[in-house]
Amino acid sequence: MGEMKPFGRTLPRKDLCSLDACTRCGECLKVCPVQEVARRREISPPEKIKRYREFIRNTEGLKAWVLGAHALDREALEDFVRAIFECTTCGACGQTCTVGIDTQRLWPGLRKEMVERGLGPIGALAGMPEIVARTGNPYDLPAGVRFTPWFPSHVAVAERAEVAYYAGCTGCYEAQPMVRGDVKVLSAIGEPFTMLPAGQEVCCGFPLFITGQHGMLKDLVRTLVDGYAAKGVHTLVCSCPCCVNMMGKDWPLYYGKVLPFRIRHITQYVADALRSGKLSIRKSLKERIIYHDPCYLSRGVGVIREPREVLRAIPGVTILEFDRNRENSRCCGAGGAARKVFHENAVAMGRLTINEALTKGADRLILSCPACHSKVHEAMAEYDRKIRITDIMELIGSLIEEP
Amino acid sequence: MDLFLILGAYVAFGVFCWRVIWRFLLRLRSEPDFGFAAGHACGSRVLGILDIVLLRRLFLVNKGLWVGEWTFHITFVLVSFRHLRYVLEPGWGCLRFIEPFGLAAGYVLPFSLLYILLYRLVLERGQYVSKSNLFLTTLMLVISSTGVLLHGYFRVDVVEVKSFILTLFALSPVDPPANRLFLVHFLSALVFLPFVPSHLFAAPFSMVEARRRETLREDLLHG
Repeated sequence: MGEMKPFGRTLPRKDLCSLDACTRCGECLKVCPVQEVARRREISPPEKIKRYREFIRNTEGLKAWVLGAHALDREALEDFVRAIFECTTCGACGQTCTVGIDTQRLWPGLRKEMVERGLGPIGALAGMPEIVARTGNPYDLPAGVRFTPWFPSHVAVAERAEVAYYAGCTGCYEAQPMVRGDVKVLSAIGEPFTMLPAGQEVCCGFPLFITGQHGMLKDLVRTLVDGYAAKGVHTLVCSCPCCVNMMGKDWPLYYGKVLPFRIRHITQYVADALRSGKLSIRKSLKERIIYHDPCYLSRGVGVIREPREVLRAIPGVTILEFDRNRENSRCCGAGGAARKVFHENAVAMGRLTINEALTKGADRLILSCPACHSKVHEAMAEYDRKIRITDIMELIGSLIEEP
Repeated sequence: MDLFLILGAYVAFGVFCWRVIWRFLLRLRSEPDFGFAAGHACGSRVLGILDIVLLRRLFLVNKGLWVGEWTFHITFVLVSFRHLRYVLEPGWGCLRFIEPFGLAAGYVLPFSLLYILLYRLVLERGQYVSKSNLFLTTLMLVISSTGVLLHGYFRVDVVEVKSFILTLFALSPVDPPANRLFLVHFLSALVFLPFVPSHLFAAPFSMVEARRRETLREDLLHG
């Protein structure tokens, strides 16, 4: 009876404090993207918090203390598990939270708690650890085709270098124009960069972290960190916001000490190169483009200025903004691994992004996240409204290429 | 009625204390936070305290509601301090300094609550208000309104009030003042006490932590 264990005792103190701090003011309901498309109050942030507080009370409250903890309603537990896995973990609720609850960390924490009680994860997410252990990625695709289908033949990768590039699983398997753009731009900057071999560049751990399956995280992180350290890396560059978030916030925790290199999002690295003159964009682009801030890049690690700085360096371009931009951006639906189970929600959210981009009069929607790239394309596939979708480095890569 | 009121006071106070202690124990028994201590700049702590005092996060997301909430919180604190004179003997010197502010706050408090209720129910059409918040706000409106009436129109003998409260604390209660409005005021406060959302005592910590997190986030990839 895993669910009989007290619900407050196993939770980290900070999460418990977060659960208590919720005032049920309802401000988060105004920005929750899942609420926007699903319109079910029971899966909203304050309801999830209220439900978990009830679990704590039922297993550790006065009544439970006097009469002993009674079995929790299985249906209530299952509804709760479903609700926390339906969330995209975009963190918009935390950004707007009037008491500053860090929901982008709280929801994964509660997912972990449910997984440890044998109540989660749900659907296809359950098999992820075995898949990652077998293939090194969550897509169950062979490591042998991680780089080969998209890696440009003219780009040279150094055996050892101060700068390393981590392509990431979603980029390699689901958003190849993006990672192709990354390496083209890195190559154009002219600084030598290294990469781990396809078999060694394994999952960064984010999909496992976000679905509450933390069992193999230490091993994954150690493999990657030691691999880059052995190549003499000082700066690790990555374009995937989820990976960058995992590297910056969680790798040090799972590695057990400060990382021997710094983490940079690719837009930061490219913005530096543009400032120092190592890279320049000469081709112009007479288009109105709109940039979508990925949740884990803006709210997660605070990279907001640099993507805009990179886009502003394109001659002739007009940059538009979504109504909700920067740290207040709206999730495109790809986050939190929810898209793998709640596909319809994700598509509906992706279409909201497409609709707003078109309403604003944009010619092109610019993304900076492989999950967004994959999901918004999917959302548009059977949709009557169309817009050109391009990753930021895919765009820069196309503008610096020789004709 | 008197006995009911006295017993009610002990029960309400007991439930309130139990809930606070229970939360404290719960916190103590929970898992320590995972990870190594990150820097906690003094500056971010000061800004975090300012966030609490000014309710900055609410201001950023809902300025209309902020006006009512900030006024409510400030006046509630002042009125609560002013009420300490009924439970402390001798009273603290600083309470005399707060007295005029507490008195003025007492008159503003019900209006701030009324504003919050109208804002939530009329302007936001009740879309985002929780039932528990609605109940507590209404209850506080009753308490604060009867308090204003007691001070301005249906005056109660404060010496009788003080001796009633002090003897309650001394576990040898005398009869409460024979003022019906006071009984409504006191009874409403007794109903309120067990429903005080004691979990919200965590909110200030959450706000300070949020400010620290924002500072660290900025340094994470930019440092």
